[in-house]
Formats: sequence, structure tokens, C-alpha cells
Amino acid sequence: MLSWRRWLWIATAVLFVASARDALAHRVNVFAYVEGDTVHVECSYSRSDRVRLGEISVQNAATGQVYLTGTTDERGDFAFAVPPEARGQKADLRILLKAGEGHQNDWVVKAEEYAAAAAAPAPTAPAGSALDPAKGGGPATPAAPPAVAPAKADGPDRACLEAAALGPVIEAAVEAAVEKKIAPLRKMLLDDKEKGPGLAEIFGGIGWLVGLAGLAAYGKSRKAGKGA
Amino acid sequence: MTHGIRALCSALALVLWAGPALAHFGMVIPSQDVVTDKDKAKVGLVVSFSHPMEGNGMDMAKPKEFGVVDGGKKADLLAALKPAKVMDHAAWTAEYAFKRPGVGIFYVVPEPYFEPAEDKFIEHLTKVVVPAFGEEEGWDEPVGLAAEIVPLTRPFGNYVGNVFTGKVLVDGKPAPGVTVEVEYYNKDKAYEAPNEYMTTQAVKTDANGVFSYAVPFAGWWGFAALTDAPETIEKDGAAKKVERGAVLWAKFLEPKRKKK
Repeated sequence: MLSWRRWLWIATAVLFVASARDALAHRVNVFAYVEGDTVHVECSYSRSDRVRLGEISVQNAATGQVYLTGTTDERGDFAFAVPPEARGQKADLRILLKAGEGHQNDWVVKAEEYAAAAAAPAPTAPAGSALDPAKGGGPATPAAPPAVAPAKADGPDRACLEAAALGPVIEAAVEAAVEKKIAPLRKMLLDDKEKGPGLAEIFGGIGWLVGLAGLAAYGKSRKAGKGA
Repeated sequence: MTHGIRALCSALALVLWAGPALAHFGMVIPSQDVVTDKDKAKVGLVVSFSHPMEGNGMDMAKPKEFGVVDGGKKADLLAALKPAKVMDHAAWTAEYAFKRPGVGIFYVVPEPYFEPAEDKFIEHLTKVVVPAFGEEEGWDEPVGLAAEIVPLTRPFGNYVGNVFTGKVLVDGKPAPGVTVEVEYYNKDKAYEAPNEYMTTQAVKTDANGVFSYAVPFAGWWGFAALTDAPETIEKDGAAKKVERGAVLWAKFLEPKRKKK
């Protein structure tokens, strides 16, 4: 396993490379955000001048391993699902754009960002330990992956323990479901602030959240009830 | 008797005028001049009414308007304002998170401030422009304020020594012959004016309402184009004049030098 110092060094190197490319005249911009399992990439020279048919390469930010390639559409947009391999490696994604005539730039989507956007893919293996090296990479991020929770079990009772262990699983499932449901809402918010989402959509989204939270609470209480 | 009072008033006025030239400035200072890092997409904004070079503050009432324009879309941020202290006086702060590439033009329309020393109200319509994630289109768009400085020099990403050029619009029309006061935000009181004339710099707009200023050292610089509002405000039974300032803040930086 790499030491945290080495990780810090790599992260710094990546940051340096990324920022060094910023200053080219007539520079091309890459911006990416995550929605559920999907990474949306926007490529432009400016707000009104988009990068049509720009080459995209999605790589492991640390190793340079290429996960996938593609081209932007007429609006300079490109979208892809987070590669399962990258998710497994908890790798930061470097999205490299080549827009022709030597114009290129990149954007890094941190592992924490996509992990937070889509709740962990079901905590099968103890992912907690594999997570630590990534933390050395950058400043503290507010999003703590939900997979780290199982340590909470406090009662010696086996059933109780089981219920406690199930808690995070349910939480993760609910979070994933909520994320799926609110992803279109979020896109609407981002896409068109001017029109904005109607009140109905906002309250609908809140309704979903409350409903799902209720379901989770019900699920938890039933599990706990069984054990007692 | 009346003569005596008049003379006294004149003398008093003279004394007040002879004091150090304290220029009032509406201020909107962001926590970062540009946004490049998604982990630092949240910008803190400090809104105050101050003498930026001397570091003296005045109490600022809650603004009438506070918002951001990005790509022609206006967002009202008035509800985000929280009371704060700047230079030991009442001021306001807010936070704004950039979600995607854009150019945020933050603007403030304050409540008119009565300045007894000048026997008039002062109203500084103040702006600052913060770009995010590589976008820079739109920095030259007017917000549509009663008076405003529309930059002709991109108001971010400037080196020290650059000439800053702007156009003063009053009711959307270029304003010739307007005095533009220029002042440095002397935040940590790191600098001192060698004499009272140095506190505030002054330039005037030409026939097209355009002014220029070469920035001598690094930091935030404020440009305040001072005009008289056509209306007056009633105070204690008298109609008082209203100074309407169009203020713009911009940061100028030293280049980074390679460490050897």
C-alpha cells in the first residue's frame, strides 16, 4: 500500500498539471458534475461557444489507466456512468478533453464526489480499510461514504447487532433511491435556473424524501422488533 | 446676527473640508477573486460601507437589494445576508456557491446613508465580478442599476500595473465629466498614505464616460464614480441631496515567481 505521503505527492502533481493547463490563450474549459451514477461533462470555449466533437478520455487520475473514451455532442456535452473498475479502486477520475489544434484541458472528479452522489454500491466487503489512502489525497470533504457506519453496534445481543448492521444497508438503499428520484430535479435546477423548478416539483421531491425516510424507519423498527 | 451664523457655518464647512479626504465606498469583497476548485466553490461576500484606505467603517443598514447576475439571469440573495461587523461597524455577509461555470456579477443597492458632515445622503450601488470554473463570458454586461461602472478591462485576472478602464453609465447612458474616486482596500493597514491627498486617487470620465487608472500595487481596488441623483430625500423637514455612486471592486495580483 502506498503511504499517505506518496498519495499527497500524486495529488499535488495532478493538481499542478491541471492548473498549469489553465492559462493557455483561447483556452478550452472542462467542467464535470455527478448525478447518481452518471458523470456529466461540459466542454466549452465560453458560454456561447461549445466544443463540438471533442475527444474525451476518462482516466484514473493517479495511474493514467484509461477507463473509457468518447466524443462530445453538438452542445459540448458528454456523459458516462462511473466505471465499476474505478469505483472499485476508489480512483479519482481525470477527464481529459482534446479539442483539436492542441487545445486541451482536464477536470478531476474526486472519488468522494461520485461515492457521495450514488450511495455505495452495497457494502459487501469491508470497504472501510480500503478507503483510508484516498483521504490523504486532499482536504477534508464533507461527504463521508455511508459504508463506514457498521461500527456503531453497541449491544452484545446478536439480533440487536444484526439490526444495527442492517441499518446502514437500508440507509444506503434509501439514499440510492432518493438520489435516483431527485437526480432529474437537480438537473432541472442546474439546467435552467431562470425558469427554476416549480413549487410542485420541489414539494414532490421533499415528499419523496419524507416518504422514503418513513419507509426506512419502518424497516428498521420491524427488524428491531423481530430481534426482541 | 444672521451674518454671524452664516460666517460660522462657512468656517465650520471649511474646517470639515480641510480634514483628511475621507472617501466613502460601498464595498462588496469576495473571499476569493476567482473560483477554480470545486472544493472551494463557496464564496463568502462581505458587504459594508467604509473608508477602505483608512480602515474606518460606518454602520450599514440592511441593503435594499443584493443579488447576483450570471449569464443574464438574476438571483436575489437578499435573504442570504447575515449581520456582521466590518471595521467595528454594522455590515453584512453572505455565501454563494458556484454550481457550474459562470461569471457572477454581485451587486448591492443600499439604503441611502445620511452623512451629516456633507449634509447629504450617500447611496453607493456596488458591484464585484467573480468568474467560476474557466468561464469568463459576460463580465462586460451591465446589471441595469441607476448608475454603474461597466468594465472595459476584464475585472478579474489582472496583474498589478494593468490599466483598468471602465465606462460610467447613469440611467444606462454614458456619463461624461464624472469624478471617479479610486481607493485601495487597506485591509491589514499594511500601507499608509504619505499625505492626505494620497488616500483617495481621482480620475475623470471623458466625453464617452470612460475612465482609466493604472493600478500601482496588489490587492482589492475600488472605483467609485460619483454623481448627483436627480431626486432629493426629505430629512428633518429639509430636502437633502443624494450622492449616487457607482462602485466596482477588482483585485490585482503580483505574478507568482518560481522558487529556485
